[in-house]
Amino acid sequence: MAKESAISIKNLTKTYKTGIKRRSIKAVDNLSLEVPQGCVFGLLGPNGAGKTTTLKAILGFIQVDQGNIQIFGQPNTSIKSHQYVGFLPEQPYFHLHLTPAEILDFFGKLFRLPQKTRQERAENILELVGLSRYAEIPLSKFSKGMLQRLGIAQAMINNPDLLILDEPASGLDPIGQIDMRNIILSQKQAGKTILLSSHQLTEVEKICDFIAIIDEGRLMASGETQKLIREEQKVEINLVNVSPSLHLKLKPLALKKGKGKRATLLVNQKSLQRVIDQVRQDGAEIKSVIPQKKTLEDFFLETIGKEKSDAN
Amino acid sequence: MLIKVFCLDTFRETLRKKVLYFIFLITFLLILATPRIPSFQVGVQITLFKDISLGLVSLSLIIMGISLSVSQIPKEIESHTIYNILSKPVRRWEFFLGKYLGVMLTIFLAAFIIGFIIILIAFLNFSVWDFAIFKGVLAILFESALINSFVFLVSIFATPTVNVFLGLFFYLIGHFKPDLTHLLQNSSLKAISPVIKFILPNLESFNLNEVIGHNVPVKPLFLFQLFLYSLSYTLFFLLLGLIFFEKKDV
Repeated sequence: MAKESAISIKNLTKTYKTGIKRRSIKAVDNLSLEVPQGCVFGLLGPNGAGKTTTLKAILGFIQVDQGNIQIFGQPNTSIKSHQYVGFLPEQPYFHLHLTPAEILDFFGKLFRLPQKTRQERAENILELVGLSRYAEIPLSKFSKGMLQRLGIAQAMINNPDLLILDEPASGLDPIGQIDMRNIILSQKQAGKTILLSSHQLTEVEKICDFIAIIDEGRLMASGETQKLIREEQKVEINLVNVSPSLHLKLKPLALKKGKGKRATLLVNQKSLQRVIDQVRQDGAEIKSVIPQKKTLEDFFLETIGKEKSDAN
Repeated sequence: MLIKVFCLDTFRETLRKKVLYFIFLITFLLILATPRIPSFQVGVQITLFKDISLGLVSLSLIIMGISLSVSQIPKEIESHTIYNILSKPVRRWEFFLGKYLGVMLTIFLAAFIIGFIIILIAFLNFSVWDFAIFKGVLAILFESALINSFVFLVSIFATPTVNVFLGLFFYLIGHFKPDLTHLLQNSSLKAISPVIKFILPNLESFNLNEVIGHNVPVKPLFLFQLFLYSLSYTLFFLLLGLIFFEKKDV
């Protein structure tokens, strides 16, 4: 039997009414998404795309116009589903007069954990996020990065099966970002599911098994990260002894530039073999074949840019 | 139940508020000064002292209650600390009620301390131990619970600044309800007179200052009736607040 998704979103729509004239803004438009269990899933999109609205809808912070959201098969608004969830908001806020030990103790109580368990978990988690030395220091003395670390600590106090992280690397120095990456990967190794929303595409590319790109509230692309990038990867082919007739044949296919007997083609993986056969048939010589390393950033920009030009 | 966790957390938070100690200090100094007002006639000093002291207690507890209540929910939403809480297995009504009870616990503590101070000052100045003052303080607590529940309801929609004015306005209308109803019935605004008469609470019912001041016995049954009166309105406002808070986007 197929494992149920960690998060299942079906036809999610959310409209905000804003201003005196109550202007409608559709933040999420008929979004459907499945987050498989045991993976790291990246939710990407430009500013205002609807990522935070989607996360808020998953956690039941907002009322949705339509749609069905489930967490491990339970309705997202049920108390039971929240037992399995740890959430790191973007720029986590805490009462600044409290210490990390007090904060974690308070959040541990919200999971009805016994005192001994709260204490042990707090010690372990503070060690994991590098804050054990500061356990009794008021948060008013903390830097932004330290507060971010505490944010991830409070998200993990219940040893959740699902971690939802909104911009987890925000405010962290390079070492902090590496530590955060290691925490995420260690949680994945322990069989947890991680849904993260991030603008840091290089990090997302390194750690996310799956991604979904949303823009203007709509799903633009989703799937396995490497597969999506590879599918769109292109190969640069440099040719010599190119005849004029071959120039004409190549123009609609993949010609990047061509002058005289030389030509450079940019071909996607699917069309590669066909183009090579055509080139050889015409007697041209392949001088070099250079795979173009495509990054997630390239894919992201193309996806958003492509949808915008389609819309225009 | 998590209500207790939020109640105690809110109680500890409110004890850190400087405004609480400022109001407490002013009230204490005024109560201390009251027996020294030179216009006091011999024989009625203790009566006036109790009346004025209870009046000061009423004012201070109402102001304390409103100032602590207006920002409980809005501040958590504005500062996004509510995200850390509502992402946990927490029912919104537990959070809402816990916050309310935390404020009321602070008001209760303040009322008990001020009440004891009045009794002590009465003893030191007039050689009288008058524990009936606590009955007056209890009635003020019932009133405070009602007003704070209204303020909590309004805090779902209004900013803290607007809510302070609405809370004070509610307090004034409640105390002048009979006069206001009579005035409206004889004016062009007759239509809203039933609203004032039947829906808004009569906060003047909780004013036992003169009664206690004149040593008129206050029966436990009467206090219980006041308690039920306060409880019915408090539950009504809190229930409305819960309904709206459940639907609110945070």
